[in-house]
Amino acid sequence: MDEGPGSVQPGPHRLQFTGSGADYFGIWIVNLLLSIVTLGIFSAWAKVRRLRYFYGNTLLDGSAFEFHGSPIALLKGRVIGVVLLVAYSQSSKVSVTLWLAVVAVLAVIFPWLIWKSLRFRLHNASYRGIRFRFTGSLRAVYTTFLPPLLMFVVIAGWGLLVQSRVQAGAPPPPALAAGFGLLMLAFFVAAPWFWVRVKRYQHAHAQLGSLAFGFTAGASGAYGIAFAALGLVLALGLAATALIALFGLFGGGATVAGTPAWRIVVGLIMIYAALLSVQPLVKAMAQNFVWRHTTLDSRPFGSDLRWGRLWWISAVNVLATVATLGLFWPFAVVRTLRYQVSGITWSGDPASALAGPTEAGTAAVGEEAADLLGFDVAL
Amino acid sequence: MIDASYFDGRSSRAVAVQLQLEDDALRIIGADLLRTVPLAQVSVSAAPGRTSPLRLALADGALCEIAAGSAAADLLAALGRPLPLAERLVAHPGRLLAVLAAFVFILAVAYRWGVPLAADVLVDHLSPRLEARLGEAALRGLDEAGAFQPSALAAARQEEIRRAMHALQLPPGIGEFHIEFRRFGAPNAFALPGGTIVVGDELVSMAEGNPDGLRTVLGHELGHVYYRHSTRSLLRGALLSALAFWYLGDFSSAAAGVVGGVTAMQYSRQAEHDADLFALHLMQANGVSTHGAAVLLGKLAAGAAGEQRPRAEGRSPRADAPAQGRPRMPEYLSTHPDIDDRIALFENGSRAPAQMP
Repeated sequence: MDEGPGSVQPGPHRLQFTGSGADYFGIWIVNLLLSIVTLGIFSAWAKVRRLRYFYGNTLLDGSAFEFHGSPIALLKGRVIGVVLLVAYSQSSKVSVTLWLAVVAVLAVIFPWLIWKSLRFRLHNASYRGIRFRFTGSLRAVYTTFLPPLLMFVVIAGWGLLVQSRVQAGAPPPPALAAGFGLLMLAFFVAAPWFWVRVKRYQHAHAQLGSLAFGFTAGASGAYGIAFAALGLVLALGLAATALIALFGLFGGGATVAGTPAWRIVVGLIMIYAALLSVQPLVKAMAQNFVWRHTTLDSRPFGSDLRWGRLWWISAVNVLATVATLGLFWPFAVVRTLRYQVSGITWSGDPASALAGPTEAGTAAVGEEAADLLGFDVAL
Repeated sequence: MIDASYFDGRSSRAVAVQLQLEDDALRIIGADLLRTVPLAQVSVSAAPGRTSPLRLALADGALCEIAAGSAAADLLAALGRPLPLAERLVAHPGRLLAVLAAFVFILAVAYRWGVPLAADVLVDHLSPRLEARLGEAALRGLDEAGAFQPSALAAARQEEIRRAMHALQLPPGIGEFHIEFRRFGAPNAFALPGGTIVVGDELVSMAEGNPDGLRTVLGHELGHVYYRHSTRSLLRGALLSALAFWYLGDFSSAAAGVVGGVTAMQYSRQAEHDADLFALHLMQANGVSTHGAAVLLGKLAAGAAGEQRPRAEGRSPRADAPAQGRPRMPEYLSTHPDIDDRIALFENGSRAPAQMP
């Protein structure tokens, strides 16, 4: 446990989360209420409040992080987002060519939006008065995001092609269907690799003042996560089949459209259980993988999340949220966040960061970091 | 005197200091440090809630950080900075309860009145082509799901019915409509967004020798087309989904989707009544007697009475699924309640003129 702010401890520093569910409940309910009353305009302020709460309750060596983003910037970003959405939906009514043109434009600017949002998030975060920075280049965001985007567009296009060739009721042409299947398979095989590249782009190009982040992972760890998730899904599927076979011995019961009702119920329960179980597994493994391979000032981070514990937290969260018709949700968020944040350690010296040349002497950041269009795409 | 950490804004090295609040200034006292800053140059930065450290930012980029606790709260109070509105709303447990109650109330009002109102406003701005595409997609979906079989009705008969409906004098603004025939397994007819009316073979055969009755019932569906009821309820479902997503979205998109889906495609009683009045007025304007409709509806009621009484309530589950295992089309009566009132309406209407709703 830290002795107090400013002390240099032997051994790694562990992040702390000091937020409480009760506290966050007050913030959350006011956010919801004012958002509805203002027909959504307050939601930009709500988001800033939320982020300031989470950042402000995340402590490293006794000092908290701070989020400086302006709600106006977020609001402007959202307005732009709505405009893009309207352009996309309305263009399809005018003509197919216009729609394709809009889709092409959107695909081209999407990586740029992501770049903007990464900069916004980091430039508006600080620790002990030192600002974070994002130094990823625009070129790198395109080389990182275009391959999966293009693949996605090709798959979507192929899917539309298959659909257009299908006669009502008849199966699709085998060559087209096989091609589609292969494309989907290729996408799933490539997905972990894409994901690692995205994480590397995010983590390797961040800085805290003079200290630089680094990312040392290869893609193999991500495939480990994918296989673990698949393995779990298969195991649960086998368990479900075994259960159903077992209950089949008893038989009877009402039917819904020919299928025994209990079979449907068990099936649904197993599907939901599978989804709820796989998510904590992937979350825990992903956080451990990403943060264990991240360094700051060449000193590594650690992350020791355990899947079992995260699963238990999630299970209680789900049950309690359903039982309280959603009112438990802010408590659930805090419980999960607390576990995730407190799993992260850093072996460096929190007192060693120096402000970048543009920051010293200014309280308000007025340089290019003050994005007027505060895009915030959650990654 | 309050303990704090001082950061000079140029490095993240902490200096243990003590803070003293004087009349117009903040005094910062540390081992090698002594600063007096006018309060006007001190900006208080605190995250919402009570558990995060309090930060005093100075104009030159320096920072004082005070651990959360009573000392920080006292300092904040002494500095005289008012809490933002959003925090004042929940400052006390009583206020928190009030906010919660207000939230639930607004949610209820939005569900009951806000969503239908918004749906009505939206539907007026929806392009007819989009509606038509929605209806076509819905019919295609139902066909592919096997909800009904292709019609066994002779093409000539289908054309006859179509011509009869298109020959009617219709109010302006009804837009395009076209009639599709299918085999439902039970007498039924319904309208999809964009003017597609789907009629069951069984309804047609039940109306054999009763062309006026058939035309009136189809006129009722035309009423749904005219008022765009299907689109309205679809929009309502979508808006409810959006509302549910607002509240539950982080938690579960599935839960949010269910809420919206359950209320979609459900005609309100008012909509049914309006469609009845539309049919009544339409038939009178075209000189068609609605007595046939009363007879037809009577047959439907009798047919249902022969099976299960609860059907007339309009809320019975479809417990007897067809052997083929396909989804079952709802009985006409379960989607068109109050059959006796409707029979009376058409019977009386055949004698006296009605008002257009």
